[in-house]
Parts: sequence; C-alpha cells; structure tokens
Amino acid sequence: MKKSEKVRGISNYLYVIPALIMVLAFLIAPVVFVIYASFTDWDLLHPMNFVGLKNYIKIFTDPNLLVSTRNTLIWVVIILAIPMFLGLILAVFIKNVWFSKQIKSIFYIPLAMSGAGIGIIWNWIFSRSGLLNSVLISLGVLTMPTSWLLNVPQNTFSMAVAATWQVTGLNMILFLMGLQNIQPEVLEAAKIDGANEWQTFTRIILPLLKPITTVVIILNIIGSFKIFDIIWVMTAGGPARSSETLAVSMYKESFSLYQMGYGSSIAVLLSFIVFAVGIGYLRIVGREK
Amino acid sequence: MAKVVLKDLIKKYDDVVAVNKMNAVIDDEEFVVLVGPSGCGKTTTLRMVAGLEEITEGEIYIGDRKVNDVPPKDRDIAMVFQNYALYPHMNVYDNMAFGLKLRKTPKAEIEKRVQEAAKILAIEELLKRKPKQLSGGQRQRVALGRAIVRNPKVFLMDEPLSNLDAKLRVQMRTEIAKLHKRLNATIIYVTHDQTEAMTMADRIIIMKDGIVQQIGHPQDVYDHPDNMFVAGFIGSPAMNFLDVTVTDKMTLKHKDFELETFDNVKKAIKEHNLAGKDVVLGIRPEDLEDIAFVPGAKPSNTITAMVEVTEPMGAEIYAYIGIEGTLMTARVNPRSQVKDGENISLYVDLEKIHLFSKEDEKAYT
Repeated sequence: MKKSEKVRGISNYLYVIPALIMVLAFLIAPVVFVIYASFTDWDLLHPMNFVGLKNYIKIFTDPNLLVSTRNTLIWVVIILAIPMFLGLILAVFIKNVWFSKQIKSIFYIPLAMSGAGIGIIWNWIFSRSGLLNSVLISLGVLTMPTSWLLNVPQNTFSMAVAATWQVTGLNMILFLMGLQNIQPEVLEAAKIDGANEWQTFTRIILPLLKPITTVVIILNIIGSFKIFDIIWVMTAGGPARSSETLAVSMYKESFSLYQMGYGSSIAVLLSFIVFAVGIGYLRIVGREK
Repeated sequence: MAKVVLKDLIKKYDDVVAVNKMNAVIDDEEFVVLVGPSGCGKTTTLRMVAGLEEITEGEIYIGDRKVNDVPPKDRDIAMVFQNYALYPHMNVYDNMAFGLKLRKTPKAEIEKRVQEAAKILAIEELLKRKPKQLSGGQRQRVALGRAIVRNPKVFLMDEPLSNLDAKLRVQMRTEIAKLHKRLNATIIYVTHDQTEAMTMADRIIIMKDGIVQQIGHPQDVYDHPDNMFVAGFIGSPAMNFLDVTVTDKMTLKHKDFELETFDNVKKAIKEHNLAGKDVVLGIRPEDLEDIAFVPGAKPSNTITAMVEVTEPMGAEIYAYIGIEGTLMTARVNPRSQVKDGENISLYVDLEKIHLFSKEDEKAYT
C-alpha cells in the first residue's frame, strides 16, 4: 500500500468520527445505560443495586401497568383505524377537489403544533365548562355537562380524538405524496379500460398506495406506543392513573415516583414491543413482495 | 371499426384556445397521423376523442354516434400513451386482461384474446412479468396489447414511440404499420416527429397553434404544401426559403442570381398577378445539386454561394450555404468536391420550386 493511500484510509475514518461520537454518546450509551438500570433498584438517592429480573416481574403483576397496557392497546387500535382512514379520505378528496390548496393547510396546522399545545386546546374543548359541553347542551344533546376527561375509559377516547386531529394531517400528507406518485395516465388508462371511480380506487389507486401505506402504518404504530405529551398535558394519566399509557407510566415511575430502575424496565419493554411490531410488520410486507 | 368525425371542434382553457374550429373526417380503417410542434393542440384533440378532455364547442362522432357526452369507457376506443401507463402492480397478463375483466368477459375468452395479442406482439414469454421488469420496447408492446385485446372501434395513440431509443423507434414504426394492416383498425396517431407521420400515415393532419394547416396524403403534402409552415415542417432537412422578386419577364430575381421559371410557376404568377411583387421562394434541399453532376446547368437555373459547413452523410453530402444571411441546405452528390469556405454553384430543379406569399405565407404554386 502506498503511503498516500494509507493516509487516505485513516482520513476516511477521521471524517466519520464526529458522527460516530454523537451516535455513541447520545444514542447507544443511553440505551445501554437504560438497559443496565432496568436490572437495578436505582432511585436517584441511593447507589444502584443489581436486583436481577425483579423489575420485569413487577411489570407483569402491577395492576397499574395492566391499565396502561390496556390503554396503550386502545390507542394503537384507534390511531391505526381512524386517522389513517381519515388521512386517506382527505388525501383523495384534496387531490380531486379544486380548492384543495386552500383547505390543505387547515389540516397541516395541527402537525406544526407541539403535542403540549394540542393538549391545552383540547383540554379546553373537553373541560366541564368547555366548548364541547356547551355546544352539546345548546343542541339539546346533553342536559348536564359531562366530565370527558374524568370518566374511564371515555378519557382515553377523548384524548385519542385530540391525537387524531394531529396525526390525520401527517397521514394525509403521506397519502397525498403517494397519490401524487401515481402517473395520471395510469388512471386515465383505467378510465378508458372501463373502470368507474370506485373500481379505479379499489383496483388501481389502493394497490399503488401500498408502499406509502406501509410507512403510514409503521409511523402510526410507533407513534401510538410512544404517545405521551397529549396525555401528560390533558390528564397526566389520571384520574387515579386510569388513563396512563406505557409511555406515561414509564415517565411517572421514573420522574414522579423516582423508581428509575422500574421506569427503565418499562422503557425497555416498550422499546422491545415497538421493535417487535415494526420488524414483524416489515417482514410481512417484505414477504408479500 | 368505425370512422371518426370532428366537427368545428374547439377546446379552450380559460382564454387560451388549444384547438380552434377543427374539422376532419377519419375514415374507417384509416391510419391518420396528427402532427405538429409541441403545443399545437394535437394531443388535446386526441384526448377529446378519447373523452379525457371536455369539448368546449363542436361535435365528435365515432361511427354514427355523437360522443360529446359519452364517458371514455363507453366510446369503444383504446388508447396507447407515451409513457405506456401500464398498471405497475399487475403483471403483463393482468394489464392486458383488466379491461376485459371489467367488461365481465368470460374467462376463457379473456385467455384466448390475451394469448392471441401476446402472440402478435411476441410477448408470450413476458405474461407473468411486472412492468418494471420490462424494457421500454417491451412495455410499449404490452401497452399495444392492452389496446388490441379490447378489439375497439378506434385506436388512439399518443406519441407511443417518443420514449424509445432511435433504433427501436424505427423497428416499432414498421410493427405498428403492420399491425394496422393486420387489424384493419381505425388509428389516430399523434406525433411531433414528421418522419413518423410521413412513413406510417394514410393521411396526415398538420396542426399549428390549434389550427389545422393541411390534411392529405403524406406525399401530396410533401409535394404540395399549402403554406410555409407545412413546407418547413414536413421534410428533413427542412425546405429552404429565400425572398425574391418576380420580374415582368416572369423570372425570380435575387440580388445574387436570377432564375427562370417553368410552366407551373408561370401559371401561378399569372393567376395571382405576381409580376413585380416580392414573394418567398421555397426550394427543398434535394432539389439543389452541385452543377458538376448536372449536364444542363446554366446561369438561369443556378445559384452560386459560399459553403459554410458540409456534413458528409455517406449517401449524400449536406452542404450549408449562406445567401445574404440565410442559411440554406443542399443535398449534393457524395462525390462532390465541395469544401467549407469555398464557393459552390448549385443547380436548382426549377420544376419543383414553390412560391409563397410574403404576407400570409400561403402557397401560390
């Protein structure tokens, strides 16, 4: 090997080092640390003691975690069903309607807002003296104001509505992108071939949206497992930990109750589930190809 | 099969008139090519026939039926697109069968028709493949196959060869022409390529700015263009144009030369009373020849000018000569001694020259 080639070989690695340090310091190291912490009884005050699988066993016996898991599953189902469906419908609608550009931004706006901001807005809508109650009362649907965020499991559904409001915009944009990638001539060819609007949609457009649908499903699954900010702002998991999800429980155990070890084990479990679901789904999609 | 009639057809996009009062009759089993530069309205016309574009004014008949308000699927037409427009998620067989399936054709019949079309187009081996596994030429065959299986009254083809490389284009050109003979189909074919138009068409319709310039048999259009646009558009290299004055002696006078005229031109001069007027002289490149190869050359049928560039093509030489700032092309004998920067005397085949009006660019001859 010539000297200059050797130098170039070393400099190649030098270019990578800054990025490598960033990844190691801010991604790999915390992950390793959390995994380690999940096997300890760390409480921020006392030194960490290794406790083996104690935290993990606790997860499966903790009644609070059972509620969290149930709520998380409700979130996954709702977020997978409603915003995805709405996003697709909106995308198709916007693609084919002349005033699309004007109304498109209405659905973008929630996307640009933070989850906390959305939580505050919807908190006001759902509060006892909020918008929803006054509208429903004035329409005669309700006679008394309801506590949308205090009743179980109504509170989870109410918050899912708020999340839907945010997530739908993203799904819509992704589906719009998918729709825009379909050659208009393909749809015209279908028209000439004799397909009506519905046949074109089900037999041409939907199959061609499959790649983007995969992305949307993955993003929505991961997003719904991780959902935190909206819940934290609207109910903080209450009342009486009834609307917690796994992500909220993780935060609460770690930073409210200072059970860092236990919180870490929930974090590890949550990551594992998201990973497993993601990989499993990609496998299924990959096999179909 | 059926004839197609376009009657006073107009298409407007807001204030822009894309097609203006177009009239044409495409006969049953005829291969008609719509040709013109981009933006001339040819594709818009085709799309109106297909039903993909609404008609602003006028009427379209397919067979005896007025189809203005008939949706594309009920017009009994098939269309081949420039970018093939195959269904990416279906294999070749399903691409071809899709239209038949939608029409609830029996399975055995679908199978028969797809196999038949595949045989005609030599794509039997590809039926299980997806479009992305095919080359451009194969995709275009599949697109043709999709049209053939439907057995439509009219085939509409929108620049079907434009995305293919030059060699494949020539090959597919002959195949489409053969296909036309075999299917006895009415075909309306859109292209910007005048070679395709000349080689494939029974008749060509030349359009510019939404207006039909001329309709006719390719050779007739070539020999007798109605105006300067058609004269310049059809034929490659394009016709040469020079400003000349008609003298009282019925010669064509230019600063550098004076050409005599033959009967056909004399007749036009008399008919249009052109003596003393400025006109545009049109000469096709093949009607100019190095005088070394023409025994009867004399000053009254010769133009002398400096050669700016020569392009040896093998079978001939393209000599580009400059006359008063106008670059003219001559196709001269390959053994000509013509050299860049030297003067050349070119014999003009005066029987084949054209005269055009300077005002409205219409042909006198």
